[in-house]
Amino acid sequence: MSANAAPAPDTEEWSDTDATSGGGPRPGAGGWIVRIALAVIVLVWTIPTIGLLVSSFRPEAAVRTSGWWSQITTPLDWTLENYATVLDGGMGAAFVNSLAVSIPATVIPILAAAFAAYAFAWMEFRGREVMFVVFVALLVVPLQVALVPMLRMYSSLGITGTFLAVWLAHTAFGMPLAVYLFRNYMGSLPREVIESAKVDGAGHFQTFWRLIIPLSVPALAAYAIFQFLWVWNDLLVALVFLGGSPDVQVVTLNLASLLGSQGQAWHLLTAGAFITMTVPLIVFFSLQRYFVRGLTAGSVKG
Amino acid sequence: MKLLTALFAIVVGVGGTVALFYGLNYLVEHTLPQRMRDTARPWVFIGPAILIVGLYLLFPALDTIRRSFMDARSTSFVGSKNYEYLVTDPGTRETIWNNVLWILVVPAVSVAVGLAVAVLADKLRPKWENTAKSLIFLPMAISFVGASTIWGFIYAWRAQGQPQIGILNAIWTQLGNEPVAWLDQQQYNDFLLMVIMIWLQAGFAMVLLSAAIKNVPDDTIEAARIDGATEVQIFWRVVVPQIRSTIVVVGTTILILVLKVFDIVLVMTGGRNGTDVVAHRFITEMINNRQLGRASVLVVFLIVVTIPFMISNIRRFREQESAR
Amino acid sequence: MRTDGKRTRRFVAIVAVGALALTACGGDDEGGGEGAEGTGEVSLLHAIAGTEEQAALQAALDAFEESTGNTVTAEFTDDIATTLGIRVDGGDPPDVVLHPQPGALEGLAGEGQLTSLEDVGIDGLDGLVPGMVETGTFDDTSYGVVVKAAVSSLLWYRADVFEEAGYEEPDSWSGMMDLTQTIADSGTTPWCIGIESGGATGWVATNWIEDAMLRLHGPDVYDQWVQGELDFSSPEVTEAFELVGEIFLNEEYVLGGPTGITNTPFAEAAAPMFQDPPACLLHRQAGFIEGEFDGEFGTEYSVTIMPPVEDQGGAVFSGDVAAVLTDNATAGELVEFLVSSEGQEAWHSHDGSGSLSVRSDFDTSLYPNDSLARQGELLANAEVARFDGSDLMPSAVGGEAFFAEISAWISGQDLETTLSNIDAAWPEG
Repeated sequence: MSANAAPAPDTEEWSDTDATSGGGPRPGAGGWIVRIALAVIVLVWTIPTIGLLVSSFRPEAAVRTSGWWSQITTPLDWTLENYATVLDGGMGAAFVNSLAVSIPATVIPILAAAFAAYAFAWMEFRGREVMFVVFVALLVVPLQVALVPMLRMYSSLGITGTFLAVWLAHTAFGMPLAVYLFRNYMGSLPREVIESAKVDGAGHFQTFWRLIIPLSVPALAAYAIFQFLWVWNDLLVALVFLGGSPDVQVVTLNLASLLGSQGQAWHLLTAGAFITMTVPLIVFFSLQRYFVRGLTAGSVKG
Repeated sequence: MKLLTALFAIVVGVGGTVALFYGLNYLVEHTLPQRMRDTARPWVFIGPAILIVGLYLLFPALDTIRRSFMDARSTSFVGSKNYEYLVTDPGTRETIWNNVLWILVVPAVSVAVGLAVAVLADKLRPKWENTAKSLIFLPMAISFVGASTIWGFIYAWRAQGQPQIGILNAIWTQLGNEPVAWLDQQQYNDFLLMVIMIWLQAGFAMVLLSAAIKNVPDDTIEAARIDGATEVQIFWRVVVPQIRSTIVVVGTTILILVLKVFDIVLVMTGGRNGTDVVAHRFITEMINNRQLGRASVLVVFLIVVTIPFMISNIRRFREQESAR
Repeated sequence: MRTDGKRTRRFVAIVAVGALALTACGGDDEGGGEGAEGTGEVSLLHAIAGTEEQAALQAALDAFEESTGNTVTAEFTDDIATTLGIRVDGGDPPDVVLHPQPGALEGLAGEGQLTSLEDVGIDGLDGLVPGMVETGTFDDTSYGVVVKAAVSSLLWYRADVFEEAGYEEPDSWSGMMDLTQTIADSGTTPWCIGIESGGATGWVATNWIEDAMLRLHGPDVYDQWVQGELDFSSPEVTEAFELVGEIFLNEEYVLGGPTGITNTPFAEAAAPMFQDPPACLLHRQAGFIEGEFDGEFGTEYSVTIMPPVEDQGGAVFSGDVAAVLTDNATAGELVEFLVSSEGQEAWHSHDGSGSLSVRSDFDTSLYPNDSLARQGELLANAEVARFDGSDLMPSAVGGEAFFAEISAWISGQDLETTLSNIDAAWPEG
């Protein structure tokens, strides 16, 4: 919300009553209906997660034999043991590994895709449309088909088991979506902005860094969240290219290794799910404000 | 020590990429003759993207098309045998029909929920808006194993008389009914799996749509309001047209995810009871059955399905470019 | 036009060189140790999960490093079929793999991806329980050996209730059926059975069929069956399904009936046995399930082996087979050590170990608890032992069709369709 819209929520409080009498000055209509509708959606969306959260504090036997909600009515037996077990299992080192994988594997595709998207949107060159179609078509190719040829290439270059190998793989897998999203966003920026930069004597490279990137922050941030989540929660790519030895294990693999010989340790899974969730949530909250900054881009448009 | 190594790796990785683009730009601007610069410049921008996508995705994708005409271990050509097998296989029709249902339902409902939350939350105070949005976003952050555990707690079934640990059956039996094995019910088990996907993806839709709604210029809304439009009219006639392209992009992105979805099916039902989808079938054929030929046909199918949507995207971009 | 194309090509070349330069300086290279002779380093890929089980494995690896001065890099994967398949196809195999599915290893041996034990310097292994070497022998060449085992044919029961009611451990299959009827008549559901396991739902039920096959028709027919020489539609296999069906398809015998079987997660299936009063008294499952029990071994619950059919008994077991994928002689040293007395002792006497030694001379008092000692005796005393059949079949059958179709059969699909569907899944040739 921009500065001039800031007082709006207050007006809303007052407009509740006169909303029926012909519409208030700002979004007041049906303030309570809005709130109730939203509360219902949010509640429905949150119940599953609450179930997981409650379960993560329950002893193993209880998780298997009674519903999680019974824990709320009979608040006995809350335990931190699930968390202790998960954290004891080498989770700390796995966090560091996961960060070392996820941060570059998010930033690199953003950079490369932003450059490409700019070219697709604002530069003239032969084969532009064909190449863009190919990028979009590759959106649906399952990454499993690429693993074997990639590993062969890595083996001959001798870079299996390195961070670089995983970064490049994630960069490739994330690229089609990034190019598609960024091309869409950058293409909608007004021509005058780019023209005016050219008049000022800026080349494409300067225009890109000084103008397009700042204007595209909302799209970049949205994709960053998406890609980061994907990489953070990925197991397969890391397993194949980084490996499974304890010193390079990522969080997801570390968690899988705790789950018992038949993968039956549900109680640890619940605690593990919450521990691994913390980082993506931090990323979300820290990037959230950039969506608001996106207003500047929108205001140029108007 | 470990932390330092990781930090160093991050700096090298990110810095290296930035340096690569600067380096390439420098090469073009300072070493090439004037007349070649204009030709070369776009390649500085798309070169790295093309190189990496070509190596990692395009080449394997083309190879997959080739393998779809070969036998299980890609040792000899078998013509259209794999295609014939899948066309005549009775399970395939059901699998494809399921995919159609997923395609029709999941993107639409995810966008609708995301849009509803974005619009409704926009009318609240920032504090409540952020709380509501964060809670809707929450499922996205949960790892896949976590999500499947959660939904296990919802659809779980226990014998009658045993305490129900699944919330659906707990409510259902409280109402005096016999417990139902939800995921066995062929009439609607597909939809129960779709609910999981929608639950995971609505947050993504909401984030992008909310950003788009906030970019709708206030003066267009004000103008409509002065003309006496109701809030509902404003939403449909002023807001929606201006965020249409975002809706299309979000819907498309979720559509792609739907086409690739296999883990929900794998973990919840393993494709049993008529719940199989193409991407899960692909994993089964490729990894478990080691039938590369048949698996490849399914990838070709996925690519073919996306052709209409590629065409519509190109058309839209042409319109966009001629309009500006 | 032409020159344009050339320029483009030259430019792409420049880009490629740039990317490679980045590649070269960006990676912290970790060369995999491979060589004609022993390198002193060996990489190991395994799927042994669980903190305690991993600690037991590590104890054995530590003992190896200490006694030989070699180093082992152990890698865990949660999905060994996918990981190993990709690593092998991608030209980056580990030196040694501990694989729970010998059938997959047989496939790799056929593709020429495995190194025979002889070629890594193992002349012969003795002192092992019969079946351990044979499991890893394909086409008369020994490629692997079982290094840890778990008896699958275990019958767990409520010992306290048995004592109170005067029930006895059944010593024949018909005795077990009589006992089942007696318990049902007393008003308690006899069996707890759960086969739900996500994408792998059904594997628990396949173990029952394996028990039935081994008991009804003996080890030779069992071997023909797992090798695909005996159809599922044959009278022999049909008989085995019918025998198991007497329990599975009887609403009165199993808690929750057939719906209960397919919808109860295998790990939770036995929980009702420990309710008060117990909701069932019998459960058939491998040793790992004991970790889910809420009672005390010896007093509240006990274990025996599934009873024989007309004097033909036997143990179906599962385990991990060690096989070598490179020509690194150190890999051979590791495999040999893991099945030696020293290696087995370090591994299976460890507190975290939940599995059994593959050595027939293993001192059962070394096991960390009484239950494992009892299971060790059951394995050592079994008249025949056979590896879990579904793990020996090609994974299109043993990891897919067999699981899915047996689940469908329990849910009501007719037996003839079920069996012919499984037959149809056998890969040609």
